Amino acid sequence: MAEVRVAVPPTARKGEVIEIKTLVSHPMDNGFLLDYGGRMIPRWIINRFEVEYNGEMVFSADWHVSISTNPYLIFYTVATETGQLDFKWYDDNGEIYTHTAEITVT
Amino acid sequence: MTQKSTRRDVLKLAGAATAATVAPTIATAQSAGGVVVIGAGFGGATAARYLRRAGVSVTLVEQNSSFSTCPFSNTVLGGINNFSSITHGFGGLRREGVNVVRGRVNAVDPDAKSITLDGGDTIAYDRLIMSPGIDFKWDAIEGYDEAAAELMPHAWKAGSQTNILRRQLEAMPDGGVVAIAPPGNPFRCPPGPYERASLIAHYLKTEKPRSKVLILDAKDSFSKQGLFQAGWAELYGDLIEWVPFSEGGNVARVDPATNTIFTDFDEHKVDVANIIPPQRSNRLVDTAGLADGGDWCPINQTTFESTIHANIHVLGDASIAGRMPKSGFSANSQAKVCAAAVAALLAGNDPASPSFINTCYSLVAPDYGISVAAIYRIIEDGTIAPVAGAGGVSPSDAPASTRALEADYARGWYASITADMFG
Amino acid sequence: MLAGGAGSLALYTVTAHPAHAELLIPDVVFKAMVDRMGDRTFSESGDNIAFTLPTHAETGLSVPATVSVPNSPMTQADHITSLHMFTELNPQPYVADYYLTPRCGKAEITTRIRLARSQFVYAGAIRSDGTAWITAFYITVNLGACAADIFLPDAAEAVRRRQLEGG
Ligand SMILES: Cc1cc2nc3c(=O)[nH]c(=O)nc-3n(C[C@H](O)[C@H](O)[C@H](O)COP(=O)(O)OP(=O)(O)OC[C@H]3O[C@@H](n4cnc5c(N)ncnc54)[C@H](O)[C@@H]3O)c2cc1C
Repeated sequence: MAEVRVAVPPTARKGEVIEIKTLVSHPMDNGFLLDYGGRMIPRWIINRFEVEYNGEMVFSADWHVSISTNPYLIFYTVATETGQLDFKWYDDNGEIYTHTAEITVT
Repeated sequence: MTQKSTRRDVLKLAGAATAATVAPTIATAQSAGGVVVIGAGFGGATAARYLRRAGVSVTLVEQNSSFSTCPFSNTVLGGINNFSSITHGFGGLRREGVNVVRGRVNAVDPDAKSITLDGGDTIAYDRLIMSPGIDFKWDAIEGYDEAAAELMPHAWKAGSQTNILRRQLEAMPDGGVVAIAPPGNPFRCPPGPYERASLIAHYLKTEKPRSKVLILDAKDSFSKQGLFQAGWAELYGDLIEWVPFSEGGNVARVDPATNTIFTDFDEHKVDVANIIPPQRSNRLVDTAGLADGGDWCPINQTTFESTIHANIHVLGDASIAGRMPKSGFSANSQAKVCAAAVAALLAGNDPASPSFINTCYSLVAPDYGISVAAIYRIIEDGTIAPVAGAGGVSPSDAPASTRALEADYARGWYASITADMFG
Repeated sequence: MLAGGAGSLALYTVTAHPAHAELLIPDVVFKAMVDRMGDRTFSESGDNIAFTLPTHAETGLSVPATVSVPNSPMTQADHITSLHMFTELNPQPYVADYYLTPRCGKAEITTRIRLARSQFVYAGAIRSDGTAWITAFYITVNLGACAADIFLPDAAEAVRRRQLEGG
């Protein structure tokens, strides 16, 4: 189970562009490496990331095998209203990792 | 070394020159031209001394009255040596005929071929050699500026900063946390932060055994990592904790007033905070645009002459010397190549095709040394790259006697390189 | 304007920005661009895209990269709809695609990527009017993320550790 870490400022002024950082612990096996026994380690990556702000998709991504182990991402969003940001990561094995952050907009 | 991509980078790469091969001898200049060297550190002192030996008249300009080495400054932090043992005067250089001028250079004028000192004096040169070392990017970590460094020392230039950090370690109560925050690549002395963690741990283990060293790293891997981590496990148990970038180690912000470090996702209130900020070439190079808008100075890899301005050579940490690490030994090796090239150019000869050497010794404890060594040459694309198969690292399963021997080699290396620099 | 038919040439030429020379794109990267950014006219980005990464990486396991279109107002009328990254010499050319909205406020992402070896890395951006910009950056890598290099055993160890963790 992947551990997710998200940094969202707890408060912001209305209209402010806020920085969001995310870090997920995930091996992001690229499917090209062998284990010590010489067997191919199957591809196992997070391939999709989505962010909804009070239910509206504001940002999303498709990731491929060249994204590093423990994917790290910084992106931005406009603080429009008080509410919550929902983060979702989808991996090759059908696992979905989620995180919710609250933000107060003044 | 981050810079914005422009089409020019692509073209420059395609146009990189290859080096000519000539016999590697040091030429004696016929008409001893006036060479001015800025900085009496690893690159500058060595260059001045080797040029003098080649019969060239040399003026060496240095802002300080003596030079304290970063190499072995970690032993001062670890309470193993005192500060005076890493401080060297310029008497030897003077005795050999180097004109050592004390002064701070505040501008380089490539058109007038002169430099200006604080106070307004100017010194003209035929060729200028700059080895001014690094400056810090004060804006990179939020809250970390020059004033903050007095409270959260970097100690990445040896001097008062080293002493601040040492005093903080001495004052810290047993059970305290010492945080070390190394920057991302490239920076001065890639194994340095980890040697520092080791020798601080050595001090704590002896004097304050309930304390901890917490490394909050902007990277996911580091130089000699396997060897360091094996040594830490063997000598210090869990006294040292390393948090890599991908586990949230990256430092985003500091609050010096409360000694708090904010990583991307967490906050750490610590007793001693050693923040090593990202680095760039000494800002003096900007007075002549020698870094071309980037962090480090592009140079001809054979002569170290700037690709921006003729007759100015840049070496040591400030230069882009292919894949050589930013180390004192690298700067010393580059300085000999550069001195030979400058002597040859002044005498109207072709500079030789160089090779370089670098060995980085690190102490995991006073009697536990590890090393990585490499030989470097110019490769087809015109850049300096390691020669495959030459050099290597200490074995991972060596007995204590080998580690003790390498610690002796490290001390021997220090004695011989400082003798090579200062006579 | 795009020169050369699909698959017929190894290199594609992208419309030159007035201030820059033409950008030549290898076949494998060009196909990936068409795949992820659509079959459209690509223009050399000039100063529109700021693509920031180190010029050299000791290991290719985790290289910081930022793609940004600093001058985009990110309004409904004029915003960046996607940012992309591609590599020339990794086992696959795809790195990542980011889909933006005016609500992002700023057209910029920072991430960490794997690089198998020294190579050109490409960034692309699509604007809300359909304009597509492309830029490239050459980075040297001592040790790739997909091969063990005996010259740098520390980094090779890191690769092996990762192999184990994954298996
Ligand atoms: C903790 C630590 C440990 C290290 N350990 C090792 C080690 O074990 N082995 C190793 O090889 N390397 C080591 N290094 C790296 C080494 O210190 C540097 O790579 C080396 O000092 C670079 O040499 P340089 O000539 O480029 O700069 P420096 O040695 O820094 O010399 C620059 C000189 O220029 C002078 N100067 C700067 N600006 C001006 C100006 N405007 N006017 C006049 N003078 C000026 C400075 O006062 C200074 O004397 C270590 C570094 C650190 C921080």
